[in-house]
Amino acid sequence: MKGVGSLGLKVLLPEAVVLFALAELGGWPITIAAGLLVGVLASDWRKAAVSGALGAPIGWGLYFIAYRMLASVAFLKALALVPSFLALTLLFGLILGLLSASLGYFLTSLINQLTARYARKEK
Amino acid sequence: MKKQAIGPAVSAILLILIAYFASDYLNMLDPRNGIWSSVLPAAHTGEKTIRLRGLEDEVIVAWDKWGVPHIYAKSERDLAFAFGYVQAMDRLWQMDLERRLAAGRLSELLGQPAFETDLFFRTMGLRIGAVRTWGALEAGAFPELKAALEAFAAGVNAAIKDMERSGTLPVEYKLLGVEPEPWEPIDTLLVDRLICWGLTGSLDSLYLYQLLRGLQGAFGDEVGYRAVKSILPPDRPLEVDEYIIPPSSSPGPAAKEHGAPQQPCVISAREMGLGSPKSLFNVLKWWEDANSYCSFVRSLFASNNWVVSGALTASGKPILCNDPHLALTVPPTWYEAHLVVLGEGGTPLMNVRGVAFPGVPVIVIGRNDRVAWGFTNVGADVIDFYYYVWDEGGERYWYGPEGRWLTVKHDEEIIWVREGKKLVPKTVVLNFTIHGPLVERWGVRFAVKWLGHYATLEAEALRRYNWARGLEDFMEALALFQLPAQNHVYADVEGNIAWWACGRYPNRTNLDRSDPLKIWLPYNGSAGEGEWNEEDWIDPPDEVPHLINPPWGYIVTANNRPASTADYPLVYEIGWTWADYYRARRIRELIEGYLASEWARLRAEIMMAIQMDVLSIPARELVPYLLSALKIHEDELMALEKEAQEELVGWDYHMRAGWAAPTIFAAWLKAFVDAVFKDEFSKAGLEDVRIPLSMLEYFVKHPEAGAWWFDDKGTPNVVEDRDTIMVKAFKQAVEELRKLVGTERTHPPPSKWKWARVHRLKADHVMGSVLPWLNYPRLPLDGWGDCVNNLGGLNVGSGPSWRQIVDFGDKSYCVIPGGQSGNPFSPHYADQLELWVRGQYKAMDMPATPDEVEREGLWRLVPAGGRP
Repeated sequence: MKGVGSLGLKVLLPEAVVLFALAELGGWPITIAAGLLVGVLASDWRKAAVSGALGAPIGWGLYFIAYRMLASVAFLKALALVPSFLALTLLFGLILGLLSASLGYFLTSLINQLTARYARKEK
Repeated sequence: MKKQAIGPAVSAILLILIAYFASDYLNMLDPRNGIWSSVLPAAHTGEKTIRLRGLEDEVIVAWDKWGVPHIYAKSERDLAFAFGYVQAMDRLWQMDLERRLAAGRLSELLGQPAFETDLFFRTMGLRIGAVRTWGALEAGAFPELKAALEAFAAGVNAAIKDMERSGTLPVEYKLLGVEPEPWEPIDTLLVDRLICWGLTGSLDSLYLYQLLRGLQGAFGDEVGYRAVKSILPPDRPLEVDEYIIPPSSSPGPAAKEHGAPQQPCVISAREMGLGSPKSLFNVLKWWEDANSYCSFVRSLFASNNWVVSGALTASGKPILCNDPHLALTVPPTWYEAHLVVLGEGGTPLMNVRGVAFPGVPVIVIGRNDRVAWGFTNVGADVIDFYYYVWDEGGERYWYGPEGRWLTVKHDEEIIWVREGKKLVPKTVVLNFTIHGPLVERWGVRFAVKWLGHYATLEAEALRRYNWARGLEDFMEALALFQLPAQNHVYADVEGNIAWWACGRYPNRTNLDRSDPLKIWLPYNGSAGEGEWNEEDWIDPPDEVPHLINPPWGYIVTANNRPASTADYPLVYEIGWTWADYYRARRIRELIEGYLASEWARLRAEIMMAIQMDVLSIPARELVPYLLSALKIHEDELMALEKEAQEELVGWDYHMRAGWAAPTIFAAWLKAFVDAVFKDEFSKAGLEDVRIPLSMLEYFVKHPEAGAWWFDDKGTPNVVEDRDTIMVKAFKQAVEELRKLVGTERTHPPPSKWKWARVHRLKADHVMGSVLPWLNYPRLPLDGWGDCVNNLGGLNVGSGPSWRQIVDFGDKSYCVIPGGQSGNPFSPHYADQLELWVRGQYKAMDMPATPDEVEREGLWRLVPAGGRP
């Protein structure tokens, strides 16, 4: 699969943002799948972690921008009523993105190493 | 290899832990499906077309700037459908809560804390009456009502589907992680039953028994009986009472029984097999705790309405005012709407505006283009309690009328209780006697018979009020209004004004009526005492107290007594826990005052001033006596007490937020009531002092009548008098206020003990203790209990739940305490709250077409083809 384990931050982060935003249509559990995919695509752990940790809150943040545009008064009222909720939501996004992308990367690495070891044994 | 496995293992474990332990928070905060998405339906701005299966024709919903829907439909059925749709969009959670409460299914949402409440409402059998009423409709009675209930349910369910599809269910569901069930037509009848319970499910007979039994136990049968009669006389002295029908002659014979009657004891509570007062405490507490959940419909014995003939108004047409005093809740008790059924050529066939209880498809209080109506609670006695002679096994009770032992019937039911994400079944057994549900806990055993267990037709009456074209139509509809009995005031465009204490009342048989207390106390069920004659009720409109176009030109009701026994001999049968006279008299004083002043003619602005009036008659009547007592005992007063006394001198008895005198008066009155009655009540084993304030006022004015109460039973060698007790209470009140208003370091002087510091709004959401941001702000308030603007207590949780002023010759006005929307992110969540606090109103317009609505949004509801 082209791109697996090869993407740098410049490509990976925008991809992560899009993936997290799209996955969120199905709710937060699906964003874990998006994070796993980001991890699979990352060339190293740091890139996976950064893309996950930033991609999820930014992807989720797009919803807030949409709410601000579509229901400005209500959204601002919500922010005023429960100001900490926005920060908490983004924090949860960050944690989920970070962990799921990391997991995706580590699993891919593990599978790659297992595959390589198996191939060496075969030789 | 092991090293490489650490990364995925740690990430996976952390992810699983977060997903498991924080899933509730994640569900709540989820940007797409959590509470955030509730901002989308919060405001109904812009124009949109909504396709709905089940509609027969297009319906226009024009939302005005206060979030009030103006609904224009071409049939009553479509109107009900659309009303269900918009109500659910704004108030689904509240509707769901109410139906579950009535059905005893609240634990499914709120878990174990609601279990006892569910058990209570199942025991009381609220569902029984709803099922019977629905049965009557299914058997063919009132097909229009049945169609309206079904269409309303379909509309609610269409809204639920739309909200589920778009992830915009009310935030409460997201916070609790639950989903709503479909709305059934019978759910509306359950909501109706809950309202009926809130307004007539009274404990007063049990309190009366407890009081009589307690006082007789402590002071002997005769003294105890006299004591009860002195604070709860069948007829209060006329100087401290006010009847809706002004007494046409001298008071009836029973009116002479006030004070401590010099007649032998005729009733002994010890002969009643109801259990000790102490054992009743648990039952009464259970009852009160359960009722606290339905506080949003519970009348706190207060509401005002009055109607003035066109002969007395500036517009030359009648003016009708109403402010029902219910609990102040979030969202508010009422949902406001303007409903129009358009006929051929777009002419309105029905054009009605007012408020409905969420879950009800018709306007409950309001007006149409021809008639207006408003309610106060009658305080009807339509609930009775029966005790029995039991056999040794305790399974059978003696039933005299049939001359045999009857066996208690048992019904097993399951209450599902939420525990985390699971629902756990708990089996309960409900017992019934021939009279009704049997309350059997804490060693107390009695049956309850309530009019609400029968099929009653008030929903059809209300539907007909919406359509009424005049007095004749309205009176025909009144005949169907059976529960909860309400003082209906009525006005129409033709100039008629009227009032009925409208409701169905039991015509009890086999009852010794020599003493009214015998009508009000629990009955001996084994002797067949107080059976209801179900063939012969006291029915509206002709058999209930009423007035039509009285010559003096106005009618005032404020939960006060309807009439004297001379004017209405059955008055003891229909009720007895009338409110004190204060609000009714103050409204009458103000009307008479304005008519005698330069204003001479009444108008809406004057009515607003009356609704917002905060003069306390108890203060006006009692403070002069207090000041006089303080003067006599001047030497005993400390400096702080003298300062507090100064605040009362020259006070005009208005309970204004910016003044200190109301704070001092309120604290003194509480201390005074306790000082007068608590010693006797404590000896009798009673925790609360519940007496009509008007009788305390009578004792103050006639100290000889209250001498027994003024004497402190805790000081056997001293006989205290009125003034001593007044001063003692004043000292205590000042000390309590010093602690309440001050802190350890600061001791503000009495001039700073402003009413605003202690008298504040407490309108809370049912989840507000956990999530305080759902509550309304704690605003300081004018007013107090027994003022026309009745805002009792310090944390004000009840008051005018809707203010309406209808002038048939000019503009009409209204306001609710809060906002239309139950969505906390909506601009209409609390946008009327400031208006309500300040005594301002919004126009109560009834535009005949959507184009005339000053609107912020418009929905075009169009049929999506086919019925659901």
